[in-house]
Amino acid sequence: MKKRNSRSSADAARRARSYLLFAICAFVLVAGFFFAGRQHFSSMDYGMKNSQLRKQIDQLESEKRRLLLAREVSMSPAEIKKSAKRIGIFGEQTGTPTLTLASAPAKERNAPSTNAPENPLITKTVASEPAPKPVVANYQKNQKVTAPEKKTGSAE
Amino acid sequence: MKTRKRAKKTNLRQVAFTRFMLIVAVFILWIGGISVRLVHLHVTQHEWLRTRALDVRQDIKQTRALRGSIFDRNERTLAMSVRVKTLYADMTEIADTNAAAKSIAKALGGDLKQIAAQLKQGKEANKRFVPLAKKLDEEVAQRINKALDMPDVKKADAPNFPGLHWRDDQRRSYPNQTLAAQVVGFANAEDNGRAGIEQSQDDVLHGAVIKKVQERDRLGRVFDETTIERDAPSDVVLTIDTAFQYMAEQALERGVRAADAKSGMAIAMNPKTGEILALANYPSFDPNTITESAAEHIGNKAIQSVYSPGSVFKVVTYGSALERRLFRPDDMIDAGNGTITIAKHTFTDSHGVGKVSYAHALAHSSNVCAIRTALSVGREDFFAMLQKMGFGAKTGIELPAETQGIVRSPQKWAGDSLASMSIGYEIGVTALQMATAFATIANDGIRSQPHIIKEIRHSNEQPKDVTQIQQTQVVAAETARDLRTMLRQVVLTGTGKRAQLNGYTSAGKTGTAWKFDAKTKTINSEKYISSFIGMAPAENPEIVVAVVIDEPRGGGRDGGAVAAPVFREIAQQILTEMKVPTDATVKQESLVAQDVPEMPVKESKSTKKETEVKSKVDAKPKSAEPAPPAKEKPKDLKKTVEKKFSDKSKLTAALFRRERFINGTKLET
Repeated sequence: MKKRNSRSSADAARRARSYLLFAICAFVLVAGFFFAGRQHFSSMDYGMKNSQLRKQIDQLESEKRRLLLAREVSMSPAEIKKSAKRIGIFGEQTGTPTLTLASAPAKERNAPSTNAPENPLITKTVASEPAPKPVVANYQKNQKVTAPEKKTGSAE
Repeated sequence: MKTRKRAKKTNLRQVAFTRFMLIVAVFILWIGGISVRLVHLHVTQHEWLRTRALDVRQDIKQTRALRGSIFDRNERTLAMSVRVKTLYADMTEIADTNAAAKSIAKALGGDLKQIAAQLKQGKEANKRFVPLAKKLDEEVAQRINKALDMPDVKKADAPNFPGLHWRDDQRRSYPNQTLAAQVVGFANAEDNGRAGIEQSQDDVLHGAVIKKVQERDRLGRVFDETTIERDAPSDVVLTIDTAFQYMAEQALERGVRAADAKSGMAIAMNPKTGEILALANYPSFDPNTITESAAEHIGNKAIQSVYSPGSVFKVVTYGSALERRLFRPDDMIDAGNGTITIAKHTFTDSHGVGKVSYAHALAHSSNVCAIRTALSVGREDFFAMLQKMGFGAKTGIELPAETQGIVRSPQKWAGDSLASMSIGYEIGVTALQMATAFATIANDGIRSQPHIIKEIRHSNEQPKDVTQIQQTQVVAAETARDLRTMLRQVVLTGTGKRAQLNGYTSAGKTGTAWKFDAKTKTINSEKYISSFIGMAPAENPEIVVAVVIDEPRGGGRDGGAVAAPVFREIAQQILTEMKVPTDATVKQESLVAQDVPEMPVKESKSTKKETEVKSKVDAKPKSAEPAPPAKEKPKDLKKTVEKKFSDKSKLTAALFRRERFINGTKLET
């Protein structure tokens, strides 16, 4: 009887160990799945943010070019003539120059230039959307990364 | 009972076993079925499934990289491309075309009927690209996005409207408009260079196709992106200086207008390096509105148009004789009675010079003296000098459609060809060839190949392809110096007095030639090409400026009256800008030039019929009435603010330069 009892208790202990081992394995497996899943979705999330940042770089590059072009247009001889005429340096009617703005007639100042095109090449200087706050890639655990506000102006 | 129990037990086991086997069989069948189906899908329907999966998940975007920019030598932009957007409809995604047309017309502010018809046609043809609005700025695109926004629709890209998408495009802009238009050229809507640097450097400027492979989730959001890009386009930096270019263009425009001429061209180059500092054509065109430009204004006549140079070419004649040590500039030559007959063709001076020095003969542009000099040189040596100076061959400048000019070999010359060529007829040259010849003289006989590209810059800034200057000793340094001394006399006492500068010495030669009429195939004595090519400072020239005025019609039509003042204006401004130290007295008062009118060569009446020519290169001059000498009012050069600023172009140039100085801090491009 004693023998039977001792055997059954040993069996129970062994079974408990097996269950524990099984439970640990199951936990590790499930945790692994969760971890892999989290990594997967996290990588997708970073991919999306990366894509948005790339798009933003493109937009800023484009905007930079537009600004450079606007600068060049504003410094072109036609625009300088236009500006000079606006501030009254060129006296069209009398032929005598007027170096002070105050003495230039108001009409003259506002008159459109004959050389400058009616529709200038650059009508604006800032066109891109306001840049969202930069997202710093942070791979530390339990730290939430705030995504930039979703834009409507994507132009793929 | 025992037997029954035993039997029952046995049956239970069997039942259990049978059930187990049944389950196993079911599993095997199930797995087998799945396996068969998997094999079927993987083997027979592999391609179809793969394509479908990629269609859903993957998106391939092809965009063209922005075309490279063109800069001047000071990094001022001459041509640049910017991103713009094109709105298009994918008709496979639009069900109700009428409703869509209404919304689109409202957002774009376009004609409803036209848009509806466009969409209907696209729907019938099941088109996936129906352009609705082309090349819009970002700001306009955002406004349209707002107008088309439908809150119910879930869409990854803008506008939030089913079936509508944006495509990235690019627009070429030329911020300086007409400035250096013939040099820069233009690119068409397909991003292909069609003229000027845009055409000649199309290979390096052309934007490569960028292929983007994008992985998208179920909502269409991009979560992975692979960019496949070929070599990025390069930027081209020119030797042109926009300020010099502007000065040259303004001076040329004034010169052409004052002379009531058909057109004009001007070249300013550095004789030591061969760099073209300015290359102007008038009339010009605006590459931003190329469709509105006249076709005849687009070509770069300075390198594409051939003309008879006239007396300017006497420099080559005297140069070939000096090279053979046949005379010294102060040696005497007798022009006799001012006429000379060669092969029954009588050449005449417009005014007799008698017995004079060679320098004086060139200064007063004596045809007889030049012809006598050429005869002493001989055909072969004269032809050799033409070749060495680069006539009859392309200069090699990096601009398209350059012509080599017309120079025949001595075997094809007529009896009087040498005489005609010595005074600039029976030969066709370009303005650039003439400018290069003068630059050779200015550079002590060393010919620097003219070039207009300073460097080609790759996107990563490294490496830089810098144009290597090819230099060749064409004539002896002594010959070049003697020629410069003679050319100095032209400006001091001869036909080019109006080319005198304020504070700088100058040297050069005037030229007035009749034009060849292609219709009648004869010389047209009513049409001239007047030119002046000179250098300054005379002793150590820093610039060479060539000015050619085509068909001047009003006032004095000779080169000294029409082209020399343009030279003076260009050279004066450029030298001042270059901060070249003055080498002559700065005169506060104007230079009142006593003109020595230079006329196209005269010939005797008896031989007039024989001068009718069969071809352009055989063109020989015929007699003409002397053109009235130009009457130029003395210019007051007092340095008063009013007077200084009364000249609009100078003021603009000054402002232009000042602006450049102020904005000296270069923005990174």
